[in-house]
Amino acid sequence: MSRQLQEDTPLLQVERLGVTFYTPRGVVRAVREASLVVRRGELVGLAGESGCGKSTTAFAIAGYLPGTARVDGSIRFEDRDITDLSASELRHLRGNRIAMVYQDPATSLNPTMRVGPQIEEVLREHLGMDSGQARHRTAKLFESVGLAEPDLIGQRYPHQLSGGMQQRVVIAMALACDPDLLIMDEPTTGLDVTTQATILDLVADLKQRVNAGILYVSHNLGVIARVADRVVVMYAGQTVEQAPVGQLFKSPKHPYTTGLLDCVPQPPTDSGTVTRLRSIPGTVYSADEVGTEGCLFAPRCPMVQESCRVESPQMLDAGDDRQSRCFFWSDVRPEIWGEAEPRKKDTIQTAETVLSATGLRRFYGSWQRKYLLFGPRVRPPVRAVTDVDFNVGSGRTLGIVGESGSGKTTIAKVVVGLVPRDRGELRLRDEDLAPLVGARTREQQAAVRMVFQNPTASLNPRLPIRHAILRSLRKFARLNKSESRERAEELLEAVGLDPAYLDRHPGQLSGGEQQRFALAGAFAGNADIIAADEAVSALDVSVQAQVLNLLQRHQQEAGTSYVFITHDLGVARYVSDDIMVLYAGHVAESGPTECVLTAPSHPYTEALLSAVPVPDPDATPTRIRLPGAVPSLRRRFEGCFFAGRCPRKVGDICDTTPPPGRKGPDSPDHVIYCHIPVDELMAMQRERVREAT
Amino acid sequence: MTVRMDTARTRTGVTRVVGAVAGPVGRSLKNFLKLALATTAGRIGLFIVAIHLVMALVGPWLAPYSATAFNFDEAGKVQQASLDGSDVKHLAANLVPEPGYMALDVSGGKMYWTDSFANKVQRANLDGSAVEDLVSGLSSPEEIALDVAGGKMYWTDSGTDKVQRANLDGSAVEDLVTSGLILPRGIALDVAGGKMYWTDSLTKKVQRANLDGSAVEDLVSGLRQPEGMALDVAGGKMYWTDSLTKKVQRANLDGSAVEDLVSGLKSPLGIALDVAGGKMYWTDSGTDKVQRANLDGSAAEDLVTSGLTLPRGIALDVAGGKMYWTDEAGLEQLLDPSGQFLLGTDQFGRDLLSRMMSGARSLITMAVAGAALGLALGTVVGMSSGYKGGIVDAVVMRVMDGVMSFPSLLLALLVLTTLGSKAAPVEWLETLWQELLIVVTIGIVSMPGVSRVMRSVTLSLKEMEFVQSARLRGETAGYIVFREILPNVIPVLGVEASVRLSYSILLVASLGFLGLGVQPPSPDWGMMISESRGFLVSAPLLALVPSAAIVSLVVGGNLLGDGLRQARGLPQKGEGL
Repeated sequence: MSRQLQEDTPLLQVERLGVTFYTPRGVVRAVREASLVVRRGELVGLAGESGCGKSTTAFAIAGYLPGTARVDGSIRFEDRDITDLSASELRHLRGNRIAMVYQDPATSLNPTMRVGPQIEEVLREHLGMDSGQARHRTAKLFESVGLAEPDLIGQRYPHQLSGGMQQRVVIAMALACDPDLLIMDEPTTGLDVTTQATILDLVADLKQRVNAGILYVSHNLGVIARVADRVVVMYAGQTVEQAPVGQLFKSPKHPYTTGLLDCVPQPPTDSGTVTRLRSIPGTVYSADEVGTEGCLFAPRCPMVQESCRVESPQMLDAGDDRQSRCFFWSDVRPEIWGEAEPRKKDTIQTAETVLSATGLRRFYGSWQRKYLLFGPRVRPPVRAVTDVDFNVGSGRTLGIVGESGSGKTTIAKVVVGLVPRDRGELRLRDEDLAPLVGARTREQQAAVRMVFQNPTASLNPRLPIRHAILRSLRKFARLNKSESRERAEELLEAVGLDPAYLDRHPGQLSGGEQQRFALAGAFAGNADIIAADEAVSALDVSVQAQVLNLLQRHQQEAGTSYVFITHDLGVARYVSDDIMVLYAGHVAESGPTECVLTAPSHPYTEALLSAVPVPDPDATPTRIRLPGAVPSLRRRFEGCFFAGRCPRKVGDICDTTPPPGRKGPDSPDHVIYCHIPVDELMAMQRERVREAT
Repeated sequence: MTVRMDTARTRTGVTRVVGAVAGPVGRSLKNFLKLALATTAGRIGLFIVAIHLVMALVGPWLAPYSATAFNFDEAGKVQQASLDGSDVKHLAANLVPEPGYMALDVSGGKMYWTDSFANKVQRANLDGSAVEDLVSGLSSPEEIALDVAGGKMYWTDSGTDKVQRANLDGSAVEDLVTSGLILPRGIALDVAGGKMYWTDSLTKKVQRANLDGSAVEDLVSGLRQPEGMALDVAGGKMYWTDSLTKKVQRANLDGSAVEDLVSGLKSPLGIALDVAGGKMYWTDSGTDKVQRANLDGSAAEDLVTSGLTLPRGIALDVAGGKMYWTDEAGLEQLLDPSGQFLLGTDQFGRDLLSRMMSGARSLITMAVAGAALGLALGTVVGMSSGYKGGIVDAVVMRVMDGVMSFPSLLLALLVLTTLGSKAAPVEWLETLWQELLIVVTIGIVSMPGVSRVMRSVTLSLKEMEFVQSARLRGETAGYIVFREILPNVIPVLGVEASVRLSYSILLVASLGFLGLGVQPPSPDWGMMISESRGFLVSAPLLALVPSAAIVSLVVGGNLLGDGLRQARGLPQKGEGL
């Protein structure tokens, strides 16, 4: 193959790819028509909601589809069609030329082997190296993916590494044979934001160093904006838009892309106003539907014409090396999903306190002794939440933000009484709340409700969905059978669901519908306070926006307070009046939203903010990266809980003395737990921003 | 308007109750069938299990023969021949299955015989015509003797252990001797002397008494198994056969001077004397012959040697130069499969197919009931313990481990041998007592396994958010376990049920094999295998058929379970989990 040919033909060219699964329960058209091109040295982002066929496309390219799948169209890798290759040719290609990184690093690694030998095995198998060469090369690979002490890392088992380190090992393994095409399927989705930021840095860095094409699959538009050169958007198994990253985010040429961007909470504008989220109505066109009469997006499209329902659009050239599967691409404007109106939010400032927590503490487990009941105490309990105070005003939303393991969910469960507190006081208005829900009065049970993260798991799959809501109404509102049915129908209408859904089973509802139903259940008892634990994390962005707006509307109408728990700072910023940032079971910072999320902030908040990928390719990444991982919660912190990873650590005082709570300059409620005085922090952070710009 | 009101009222009444029950049952049945038919394994399993279930429900009615009745190749007969054995005639054939000893009333032109199968005393004309029942409802009549002049007949009954008499027409039955007898068999009369003589083959004596049963005295003792007897009053001798020493013996009428006359026979039964001709005649049911000899035992000769299956009683009409004997019917023992008996017969001539079909009921009923009991107990215990957690859970599960550590068969044996020998606490339970014990034992034995599975499922389900959400509604633990969690364990329960059913089928069959199942002659697969062990080589089908029945039921149940499991594993449209 000549050098010339290599430059002319793209590395990977997927043409009208279709993947159909024949399952015992019917035909699933996972991919209907996907076309995309990856060139050498380019990172192509593949974006879309879940169920749009992103991963299936990636698997088809790697040749990893099961026998029940039928593949149409062509996948040309350099000059060969992957769909025509025999199993052994495919194996050779996969080992040497195409590499793949999966979502969950824990399952990509063999848990019974040390990670070093796992990579050496690949090198020996595919490159025929001897063990000395392989060990040397492995160490270099570890170094290249940013793993410190590469020789020691290789001696560890996967479970001895943190999630981020595991993913680095997996990436190292993918790079082992110097692949020409690297497919990354949601490589950061299971990771914390701060870890995700470091992995994204690595990917961006790899793009510069490695002369390979990278196909990066992600549902997160912020991540795509951060790393991609070009973006392909998929919807219902079709690629609907393809454009260079800057243009796509600035002026999308397909209504779906526009809608997606409108669904993501944006940082407030300079004037401080927050744009109201617009959502895409309806649900994703089902892969079970065989027919493709007309445009698949037509049922949800705001600018749909008669012709859209009759004729299916092809990928149309939209100029500037971009394509759109829309007849009216030239008419697509950001306003098609409604004007960017500011979110109405008349927050009651002088709110009475509905819920107050002081010194809340919850440790899991108890000291374990060496010989069951005897011997020295060897294993301390997990200090999930340590002495947390907060107040929730009536009609206000307290956002609790933090990474996994920071104690967010424990706080929610302690508040509603699913988990007893070890210490501390919890008061609902003037009444003291018993630690466990069973010991609380019927009125208190009705007043404090919870919405869970996973809507599918929060509804009993074997019972019709009316069951839960009718029970709530009969218990809390003391309604009889027909009254509660009537009220349930009203509640369903209020959350935008057909009352006929009451008789359906949860499996017949989509995730968004399930979560809206769960909200209806939480609203049923006229709750004073609702603890929403990652209530939108499992949802696609378009559905997430519906649920967030629903929550907000209910708050305005009923004056309910929320404790809103999320790992997503963007969402927290959008819904919360107050924010509490948690780290390792301790409060790092708390206060009104705008105070917390602007300087001066706690160094951890600062790092968190800089790590969040924003769906704006021009945003300058402010590079604060936290080294290491969240510390063990079994140990009591002598000094500051954040001292181990703090980029602004001042000295020994951080290791020896717990930080004092310092009042912020703008609001008396704003508290920062740090040894650095507030004005110094402010100065440091202003300096950093100036340097970045 | 009124009419509509009426219908409405009816609907709220009976219809609603029926609907409320039939609706969910029908739906789950439909759902079950849908799942079972979804896979090949499920289809095959369902087919096999369905056949077994039909057998269990209507097997006894579908079976071509009764499962307990013995089958005979031909009916018993009374035959006649000249005294030298020539000119054999059937007199009364196809009348009685098991004619026993016989006696003649030549002057009255009648012959009398007992039937120890139908438990009757019958008579007919000497040519075999006009058969009539004289006495019925006896227990096991043996030899009969006539006092024609006195108009009486005397017989022994080895079932009720009596010597009885009645008029010759069967009226006025009276007990003569009722005590001291165990298995009275032969009887002979000395009308002139006013005495009757009889043998008892278990007390091993020859006894006599007055004709009214008084003054019982032992004459000879220490015999082995005396059978039929006859008297030579004039010669002062009594003659009897002994089927264990295989001899014909005689003694003086007072029991002295016992002497062996003929030995080396096989199983001599009936004996009759021609005192004038100096001959004695006897039947041998071991060699199937009628034989005679001089009264002193010399010059033994075969008279009839063919066409006999089990000759028993013999009587002489010396004047008419004829002898009469009875011949039992033959059992259809250990036959190979044929058009008549599709799978052959067992050692008692019972139809194997019928026994197999009827045997399904007891085994399947007990296995299903036992498994159901075990599942119910295990589910309640396992789910409650798993949901409650903590100390309660630890204690309950250790108890379950304890029960589990008993080998199940051993535990079953223990329960059945200790409790099974005792009477049922209430009388109406008596007939079901053994079965009930087996069911309860199986229930207890299978409970720990079920409870472990149910506990583990509950442990994972109780962390699910819908359970937490129910807790937040303030629901009680019982409500959460049985209303929220139970519907979700039903798929697991179904699979567990198929496994438990297999185990309990094997357990019931093992108990039957060990003789602790249903009591014979009721058919039971385990017992059938155990009984047929002796015929493994000569009649392998006898063991193979019930074994195959058990195996097919277990395999069918497992296939059905696998099929359900597979069908469950597939993602189901419109249904979560």
